[in-house]
Amino acid sequence: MTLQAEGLQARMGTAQAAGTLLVRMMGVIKRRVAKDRSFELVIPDLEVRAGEAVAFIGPSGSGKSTLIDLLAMTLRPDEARDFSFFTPGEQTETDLVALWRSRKQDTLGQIRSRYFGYVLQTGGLLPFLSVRDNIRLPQRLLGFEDAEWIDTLARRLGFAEQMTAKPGQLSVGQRQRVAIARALAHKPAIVLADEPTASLDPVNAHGVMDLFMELIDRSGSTLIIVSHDSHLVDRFKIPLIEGQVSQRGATARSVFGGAPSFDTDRTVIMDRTDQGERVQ
Amino acid sequence: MIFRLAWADTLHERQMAACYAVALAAVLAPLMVLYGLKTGVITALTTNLLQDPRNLEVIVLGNRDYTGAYVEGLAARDDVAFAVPRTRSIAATLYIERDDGRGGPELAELVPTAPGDPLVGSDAPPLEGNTVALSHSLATALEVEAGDTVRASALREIDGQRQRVVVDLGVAQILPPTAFGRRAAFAPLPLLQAVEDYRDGLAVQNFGWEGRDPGDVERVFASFRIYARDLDSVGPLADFLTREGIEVRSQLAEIETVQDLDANLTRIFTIIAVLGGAGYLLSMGANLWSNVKRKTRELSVMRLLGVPAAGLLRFPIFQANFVAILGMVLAFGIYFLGQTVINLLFSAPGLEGQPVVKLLPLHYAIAIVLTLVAAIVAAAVAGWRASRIEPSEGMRDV
Repeated sequence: MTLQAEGLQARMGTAQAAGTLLVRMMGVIKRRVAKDRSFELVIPDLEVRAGEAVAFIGPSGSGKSTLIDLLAMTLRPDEARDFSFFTPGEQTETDLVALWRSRKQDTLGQIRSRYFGYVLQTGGLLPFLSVRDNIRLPQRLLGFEDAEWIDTLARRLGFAEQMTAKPGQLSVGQRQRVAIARALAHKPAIVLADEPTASLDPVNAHGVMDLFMELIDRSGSTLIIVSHDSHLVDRFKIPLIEGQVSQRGATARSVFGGAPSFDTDRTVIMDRTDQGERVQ
Repeated sequence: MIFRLAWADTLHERQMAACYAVALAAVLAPLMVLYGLKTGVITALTTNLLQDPRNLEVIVLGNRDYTGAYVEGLAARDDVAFAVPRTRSIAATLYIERDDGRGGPELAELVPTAPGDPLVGSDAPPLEGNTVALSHSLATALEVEAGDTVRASALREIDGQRQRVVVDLGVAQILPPTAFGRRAAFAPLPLLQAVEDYRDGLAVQNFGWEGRDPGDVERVFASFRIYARDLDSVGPLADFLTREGIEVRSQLAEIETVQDLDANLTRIFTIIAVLGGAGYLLSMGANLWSNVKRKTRELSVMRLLGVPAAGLLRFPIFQANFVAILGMVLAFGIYFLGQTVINLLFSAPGLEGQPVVKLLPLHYAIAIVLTLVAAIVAAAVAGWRASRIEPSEGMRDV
C-alpha cells in the first residue's frame, strides 16, 4: 500500500469513481461486557461505496458510535469474517483484520489519517492549537499544505475571522463547525460523523448540516453519519440503516445492515483472552 | 512536529507548567542548598586540617642515634611525605644578626630542611649551600626580607677557652607565620652538621673551621623530622615508629575528632539527601504522571488524527523535559540566592572567606542528569499507558 503524499496530491480535487467499493464488513462483532449484562453489536454485511452517503439510525445504546469507531479503526473488532479497506483509485485491498491481529495500529492510523475524516460528537479539537492550526494538522501529518481549501472551508463555515483564536474562545456551535472543517481538511475519501449536530440547538443544527452536506459534495467524500434524529437526515435524503435491537436475557444485541442470519457461520478471529485488550 | 505540538500545549497551559516547575524547584532547591552546605562545611573542615602541615607531623621525642640510611629508609615509605635527620638540638643554635650590625644578634634554632619540606613549601627554589629560610618571628625581630644576607655565629668552649666562627647566610625566603612559631632558620643539613661538628670541637673543612680531626666514623643523628603523606597516614606512621621503639607525639587525637565529625556529618547528610532525593524524584514523577493522565483526551484526538504511537510517547516526554528544565532553572536560581545569602551571613570557623555552601560542577551535572532521567522515565511510562487507551474511549469519556 502506497501512502506517499504525492499520491494523495494527485488524487485531490479529482472526483473518485462513484460506486467503487471502499470498505467491506462481513460478520463483524464487537462485544461489551458489563457486570450483569452484555451488549453485542453485529454487522452481518455492510459495504461502503465511493460518493455515497449513509446514515446509521438507532436509539441510544444501539451501538451506533461503536460501529463508527469500528469503521474508523479505533476499536478492535472481536470477531470478523471480513473487514477490508480498498484504497481509492488503486482498488488494492487491505485486510484490516490481519492488521488488527498483528497489532499494526500505526498502519491502521496511517490509513485513517489519509483516507478518513472524523467529526466527533463534541468537537475533539486540540485546545492548545489555534483554529487554523487545528484544521491544518491533518494536512501537516500527511506532509502537505493546501491553504486555499482551508480558507474555503473557513469562509463557508463562517469562522474566517476566528482563525487565530483558540477553541476555548469559541462557542459550542463554532467549535463543531471547526471540527467539520478539520475532518474535511485533507479531502478524505470517507468522512465519519458521530452525531455532528447533537450539541447544537435545532436552528444551528440545521444550518451546520446544510453546510456539512454542501462541503461533502464539494470534496467528493463519502459520508457516514450516525444520528438518533431521523428527521435531520431525512431532509438530505440520506439512505438510512436502522439498528435492530433485541434483548435476549441479559444480552442486548444490535444488528446493523444485511441479513441477520449469518451468525451460524461466524469466523472467530480473536482469542477470548484478547477481548479485554486495549487498542492503541 | 510533535515537538511543536508539545511546545504549543505547554505554552497554552503555561500556568499549569509553571505550577509543576515551581513544585519541582520547591523540592530541588532546598536539597541543593543542603548538599551545598555539606560540601562546603566538610571541604572547609578538611582543608583546615590539610592546610596546616603541622597536623601531618609526627614529632620524635628524645635523642638517640639514627644513621642517615635509616632516615632515608623512612622517607621512602609510602605513608611518609618527608623525613630529614636532625642534629642534637642543643648544638643546633646560632646567633644571627643583620650584616650591617643594626639588628640582633638573636638566638635562633637551626631546623634541617630539604626539598619537599611541607613547612617550607615547594614554591620557593630549593635551599642549598649557605642559604636559609627564616621563620616569620625571626625575620621580624631582625627586620630582614628575602634576598638580604644575615651573619650567623656559632660559639664553643674548648679547654676553658671561648671560640667563635662567623658565616654569612643568604635569606632565600621568609616563612608564613603559620608555618613555624619560634625564631628559627631552616637550613640544609650540611650546615647543621657543620655547626654540630664545630660545637663538638671538630674541624670543619668545608667552612675552614679549625679543630680536632673528625676521623673516619659513621655519622649518626640525634633525631629526625618526619611528616605523614596524608591525614589517614598519621596514625599508622606513629604506630610504626612506636613499634620501632621510638617515642612519638602527633595530632592524631585532633585529627580523629575532625574525621569523626566529618564521617558523622557525611552520614547524616547522606541520609537526608537520599530521603530528599527520593522524595524529589517521586514527587516529580507523580506530577508528570498526573499531567499525562490529564492529557488523555488530547492524546486520543492526536491518535485519531493518525499520530503514530512513537509520536504519542514523545509528546509527554517533551513536555516533561520543558517542565524539568524550567524547574531546574528556577531551582538553580533559588539555590544561588540561598548560597549567596548564607555565605554572606556565616563563615566556617577557622576558614573565614571560604564559602560555607558550595557545589562542585559534578553536583550540578548529577542534579541535571537525575532530573531529566526521572522526568523522561515518568513521562514515558505514563505516556505509554495513555497511548494504550482506545482513542474512541479517551475522546468520549474524558
